[in-house]
Amino acid sequence: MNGRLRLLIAIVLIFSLASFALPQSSSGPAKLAELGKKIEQLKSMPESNMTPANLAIRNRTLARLYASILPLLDQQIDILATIESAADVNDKEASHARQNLVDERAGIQKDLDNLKPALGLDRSTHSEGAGADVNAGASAQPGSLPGDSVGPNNATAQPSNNPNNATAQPSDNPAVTSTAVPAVAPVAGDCDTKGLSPIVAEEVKTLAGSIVFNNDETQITSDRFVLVFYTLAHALKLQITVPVTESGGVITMKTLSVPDLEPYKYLGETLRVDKQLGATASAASVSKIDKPGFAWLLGLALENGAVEKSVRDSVLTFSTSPAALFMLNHQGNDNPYQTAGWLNRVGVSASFNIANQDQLLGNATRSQLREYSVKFRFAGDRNPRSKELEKIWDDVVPAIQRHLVALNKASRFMNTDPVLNALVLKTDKDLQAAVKAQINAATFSAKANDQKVCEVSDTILTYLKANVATQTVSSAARTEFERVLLPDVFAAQQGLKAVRAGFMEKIDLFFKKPIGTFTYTSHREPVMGNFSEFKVLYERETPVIRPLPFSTINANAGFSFYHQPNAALKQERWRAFNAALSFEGNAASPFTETLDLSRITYSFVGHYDRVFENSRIAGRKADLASLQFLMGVPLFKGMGVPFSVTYSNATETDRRKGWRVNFGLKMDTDKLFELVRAASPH
Amino acid sequence: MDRVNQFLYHVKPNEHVTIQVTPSVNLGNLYAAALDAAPLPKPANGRYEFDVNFPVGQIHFFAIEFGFQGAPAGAQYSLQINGNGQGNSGPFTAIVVNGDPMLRKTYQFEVSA
Repeated sequence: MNGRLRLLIAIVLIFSLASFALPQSSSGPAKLAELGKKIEQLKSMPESNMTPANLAIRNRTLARLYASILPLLDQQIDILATIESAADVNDKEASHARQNLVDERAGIQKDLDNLKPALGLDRSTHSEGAGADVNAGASAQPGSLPGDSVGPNNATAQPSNNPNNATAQPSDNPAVTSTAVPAVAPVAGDCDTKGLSPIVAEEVKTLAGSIVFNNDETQITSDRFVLVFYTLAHALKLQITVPVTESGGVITMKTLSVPDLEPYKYLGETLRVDKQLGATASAASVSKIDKPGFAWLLGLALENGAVEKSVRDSVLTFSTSPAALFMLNHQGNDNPYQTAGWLNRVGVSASFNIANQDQLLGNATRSQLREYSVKFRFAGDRNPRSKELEKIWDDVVPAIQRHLVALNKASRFMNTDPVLNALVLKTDKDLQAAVKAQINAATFSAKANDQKVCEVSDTILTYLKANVATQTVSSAARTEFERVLLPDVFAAQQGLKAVRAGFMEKIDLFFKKPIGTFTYTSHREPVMGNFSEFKVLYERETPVIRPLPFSTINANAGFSFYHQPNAALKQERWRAFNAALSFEGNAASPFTETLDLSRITYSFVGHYDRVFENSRIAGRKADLASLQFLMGVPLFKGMGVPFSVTYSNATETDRRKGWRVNFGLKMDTDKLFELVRAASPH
Repeated sequence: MDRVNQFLYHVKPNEHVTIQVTPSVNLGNLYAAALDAAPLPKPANGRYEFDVNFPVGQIHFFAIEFGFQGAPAGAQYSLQINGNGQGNSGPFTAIVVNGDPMLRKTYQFEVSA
């Protein structure tokens, strides 16, 4: 390799590392301060000196800075929440600091929202064409929903001329259309809130997501009482007086209005699972290290049977665990995984060379067998069915149940109130009809997922605003809402908020536990002869070699021997000894789509092999060492670019030392399938 | 028991209702439930049971919230809902799949004559 090429590779390597290291060093507090300074600088510029064009540029720049600083503030708020949860109950320093930051964030969000309409950056600009046909399918105009032939105030059961009735006064004119929302249009995620409180808008957005995910408008029935409850609470401008812990642990009563209430966040959301299955590192993989997490991984994708199939490069792998068979046979039991004993520590897999891409399963023949392996997990358990994870969940169950009970009580109250019950029934019927028409429209399925969710959300919110927020409720109902039902829901959400940080921390620690396995692999090599390999694999999640952003250590060590040494090839019984150590990390990818959470992955791998037969062959080296930098950049639709730079002192067949660069384009069919399925109406 | 849609069922007075929750093999027992105003202890076998005791026209609310920590795409909870009243059309199956953003589901049992 000539000097220039080496220099070029070195520059690429340094640049690649720097690109990860720099964001790390400039993220967090430093980045936050930097962005804050820039925002203040732009805000202090006198607008009177600017031309309209320059003012627009200033505002767009400000909007981008606001958008950049919000996630950093969220990060700091989360950090303070963690500190808060660990602090003594009377220690309110973290609590105050977090509240200040929450207030600061709210101010920035408000500034951003104020800027958006002027810049044309409201929700409709997120997806091309969304603004034009946002209400296509079913009209989102109040009073014109399918099945809603009556005016906004014509619920099937109107209260009589009861002098005790209190009129719910929505904050905005119920007759306004989606184009007449207030100039400051708050957003729930990317969707328009239609002027309703965040607690209503987020509930609706989550419901809309569920409708789109399941392609099922009947999801509305599940949430119908809660939707009406939150909407009426918003429209009635209820004020609730609830206990709030002040500094020094003093509990005081504080009055809050519905817009002050935070949207509910589920504790049960999925954590991303990254898997590595298939051939060992020496086979089709460009990586020089194996991962130990087999048993947990094997248990993950057995939904369609007890065996998992995966395709990686040109290798087809089937894998399973005896525990999977045990569990399938004991589905009625209390968590059969936990009673499967040692079975859930064992996994087996077989990999085949793919000769025929059209008929994948046809490659599973003896002649195509590349290797098979048996693995035993001796340390760690990250299985979602483990007793430890269930214990973490069970610890927060009372807080979740308190919230469920509070919502059930509100639902039951409305169910037993003839007026409110009729309103809920009509809302459910009308919304189902409207949403069904919307999601079944021919043009709907072609839209991006986010756009679908926002459009369904728009339909629901517009209906609620026009047909629910305008309803009158009895004074008795209003009193019950204000004094009992809403305070209960608020208290339950506060309870959940209190346990959330601790819960997330425990979950995070659970999935970062060290894990170790013993592996036996039988390799089928037509030229060099079959050989067996024993390995110990160990993985630990921990910050390493700071400040470089590596978070995982992987270590392998093992030996191999020939089944039938071939003297002609200078082979003896012992084939090789090898060891490898890798430091790995990942970073958010700017290229992936919303549904694809894949991250850029990178690792440094050191690898050593002692190949015994090479000491008996001229022109070869017995001691092989290499250092590898490996990076995978996900692009779009399951496509990615793997890239590696390797320096080795020799190869198995060539004693010359040198650099190797490998890169290419890779398609992850599993991921592609998941993305297609996630975007699919079914 | 009759099914109106997957979240709404018509039940008879005094009918015994069972809801069997079964996670897929790649998922733990991560759920919490409440019936009306009462939190329900998680049954060892995943089977919730109750008797209909509201008057005709009223609804029993069975709310359940699921967790999908560490679960892969495709992981799911299956609920088999059944009654024992006269003319029972059950059992009925409802599925909650990982990726559904609405993790709280409320199954409603309306008492009908």
